Amino acid sequence: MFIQQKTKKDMIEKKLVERLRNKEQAAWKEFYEFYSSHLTYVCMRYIKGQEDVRDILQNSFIKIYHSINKFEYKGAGSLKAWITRLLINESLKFLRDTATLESSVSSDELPSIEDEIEEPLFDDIPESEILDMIRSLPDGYRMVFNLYVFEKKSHREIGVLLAIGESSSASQFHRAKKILMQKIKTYNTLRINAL
Amino acid sequence: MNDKWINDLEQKMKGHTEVGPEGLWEDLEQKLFAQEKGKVIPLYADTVEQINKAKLVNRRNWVKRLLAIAACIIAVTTIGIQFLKQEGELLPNINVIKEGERKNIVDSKEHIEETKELQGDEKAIVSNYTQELKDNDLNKPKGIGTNENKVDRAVVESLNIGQELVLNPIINTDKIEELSIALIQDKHTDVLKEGQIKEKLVTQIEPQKRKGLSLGLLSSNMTSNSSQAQTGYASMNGAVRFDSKNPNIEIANTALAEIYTANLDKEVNTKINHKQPLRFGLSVSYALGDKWGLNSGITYTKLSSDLNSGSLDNKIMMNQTLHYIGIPVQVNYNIWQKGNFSAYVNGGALVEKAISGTLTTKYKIGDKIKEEPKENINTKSIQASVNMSVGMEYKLGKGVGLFVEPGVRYYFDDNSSISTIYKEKPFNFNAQIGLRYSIPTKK
Repeated sequence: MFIQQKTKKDMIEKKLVERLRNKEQAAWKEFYEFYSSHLTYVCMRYIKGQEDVRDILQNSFIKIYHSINKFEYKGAGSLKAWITRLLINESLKFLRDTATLESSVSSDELPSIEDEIEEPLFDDIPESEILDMIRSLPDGYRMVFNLYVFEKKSHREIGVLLAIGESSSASQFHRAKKILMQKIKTYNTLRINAL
Repeated sequence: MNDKWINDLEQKMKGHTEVGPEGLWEDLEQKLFAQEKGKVIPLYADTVEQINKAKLVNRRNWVKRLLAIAACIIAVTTIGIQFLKQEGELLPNINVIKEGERKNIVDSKEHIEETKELQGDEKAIVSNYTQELKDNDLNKPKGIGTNENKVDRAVVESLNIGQELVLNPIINTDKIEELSIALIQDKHTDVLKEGQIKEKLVTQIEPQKRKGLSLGLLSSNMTSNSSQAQTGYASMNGAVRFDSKNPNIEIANTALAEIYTANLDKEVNTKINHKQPLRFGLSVSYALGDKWGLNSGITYTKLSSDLNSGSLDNKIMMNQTLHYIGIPVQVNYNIWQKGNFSAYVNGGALVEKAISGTLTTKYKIGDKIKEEPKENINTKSIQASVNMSVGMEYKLGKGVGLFVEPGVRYYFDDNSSISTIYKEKPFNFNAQIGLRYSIPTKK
C-alpha cells in the first residue's frame, strides 16, 4: 500500500513538472499553492524583514520559472528539494549583498553564557515561536545555524558557501546554540511565571 | 554539549509552514503570464532593483573602508625584534702571498700565478676592477707585515666571485701608478661576535576576515652587527681605484703611501663592521577567504658598514651607506584558530635594489686625518631574498592582536661588488614581536 502510494505521488509530481515545463499557467498556480507556504517558512528562517521575504520569494519563483527546464526530475521530493535549494541560495545572496559591518557580533559583545548542561525543553513551545527565536539570532549565526541544522550541511560546506573558515562556522554554530538555549529558557521561565 | 535537542528541534520544525505573502501569486501571474498588448513587463525588474540597492550599499561600504585604511596608514608603525644567529667561527688567517724574502721583486705575472696556487680553498669576493702592476722598477724592499708572511708585491687582478684573491699593495713612493686592492672576504675569517638585541613594539595591519584590504606600516631592525677581521689591508668593495679616472688619486696615493710606510713594522689588519640594517615599509594585505592571504608593499632599507684597515694609529677608514627600496610579496596561511589564539605560516620573497649609496674615505696618519670627498656608489644589481616564518597571534580585543613571528630569511648573492651584511650573513634567523591591528570586514 505504502509503496503504491509513493509511486502515485511520484507520478503526480512528475506530471506536474512536465506541465510546468510547458509553462502552463494553471500548473504554475498549482505549484505555487502547493509549495509557497513551505518556501515562505524557509525564507523566513533566513530573512528577517517582511518586505525582503516577499522580494526574495518573488525572485525565487521567477527564477524557478525560467530554469525549470534545467531541472532533472529524480523522484518524489526532488522538486521540493530543488526549489528549496534555489530559495536558500537567493536568500544567502541577499544576506551577503546587504550585510553591514554591524551584522556580525564580536565575541566581546556577547553576554557570557555559562555552559548549560541541561537540555532545553521546547516540546510545548509553538513552532512559530521557535521560528521567531531563530529569526532573532544575529545574521551570521542564524545563517550557520540554519544551514547546519535544517539543511544538514557540514561545517566545511558551510565554510565554502559563506566564504568563512570551517572552524569559524563551528564556533558560530556553537554560539548560536547558546543564544537559542537561553531564549528557550527565558521563554519557559516567563511562561511559568505567567501561569 | 549534548546536541540531541538540536535533532529534536529539527524534527519539530519539519513540515512547518507559514502563510505566503499576500498577493504574491497575483504579482507573479502578472510578471510571468501577462499578455497585454504592447506592454513589455521586464521580468527581472525587482531583482534588478534589489541588486542596485545592494550595489549602493556595497559602494558605501567600500568608501568607508578606504577611509578607514587611509586613516590607519597615518596612524600605525611597526617595529620588529629580530635575533640574528651568529656565525662566529674563528678561522685561520688568510694566507697571503708567500714570498719568502722581503726583497724579491718579481714580475707581476709570476706573482699572480703563485698566489693562485696558494689560495687553494679560500673563497673570496672580488672587485671588478682590474689593475696590473706595471711598475717593474721596484727595488726597494717594501713589505707589509702580516702575521706570518712578508709580502712584497701587489697583486693585481680582478677576478670574479669565487676565484682567488689577493693581496697586498706594494709601496712605491716614487711611482704608484695603479694599484688595486682586492677584498678578501671569506666565510672563514675571524668574526667578531656582537649581538645586541633590542626590543621594540611592532604594529602591523593584516587582514583577519575574508575579502579584506588592510594596510600596515612596518619597520624592523635586525639587531646584530656583522663584523669581520682579517690581516693585511683590504677595502670595502674591492679595489680602491687608483686609475687616472679617480679624481682623488692624489690624495689617496700620498695618504696610502704614508700609511704603509708608517705601518712597516707593525701588524696590520682590516676590520669591517656591518651595522644592523634599518628597514621601514608599508604593507598591504588582501585576504582570500579565512585561511589564505596575500601581502605586498614597499620597503626601504638602509645598510651601513664601516671599515678600518691598517694599524691603530695609521689606517684607512671607510664608511659605506646604501639605501635600498624593495617590494615584498608574501603568502599567508592561517593554520589554526581557537578562541582568541590563531596560528599561521607565512612565506615569501623580497626584491630590493640599492637606489643610492655613498662611500666616504678617510686616512689617519698619526694625528692627521685626510678626507676624500664623498663618492657615490651605483649598482645595478637586484637583491633578492626569501623568507619563511610561523606566527602566533593572541587577540586582545577591538581588532588589536599581539603576535610573535619567528622565521628565517636568506639573502641571495646579488653578484655585485659591494660588500654588505647581506653577503656576510645571507642566512639569518630572526623573530618579530608586535601588535597588529586588523580592519574588520563584512561577513
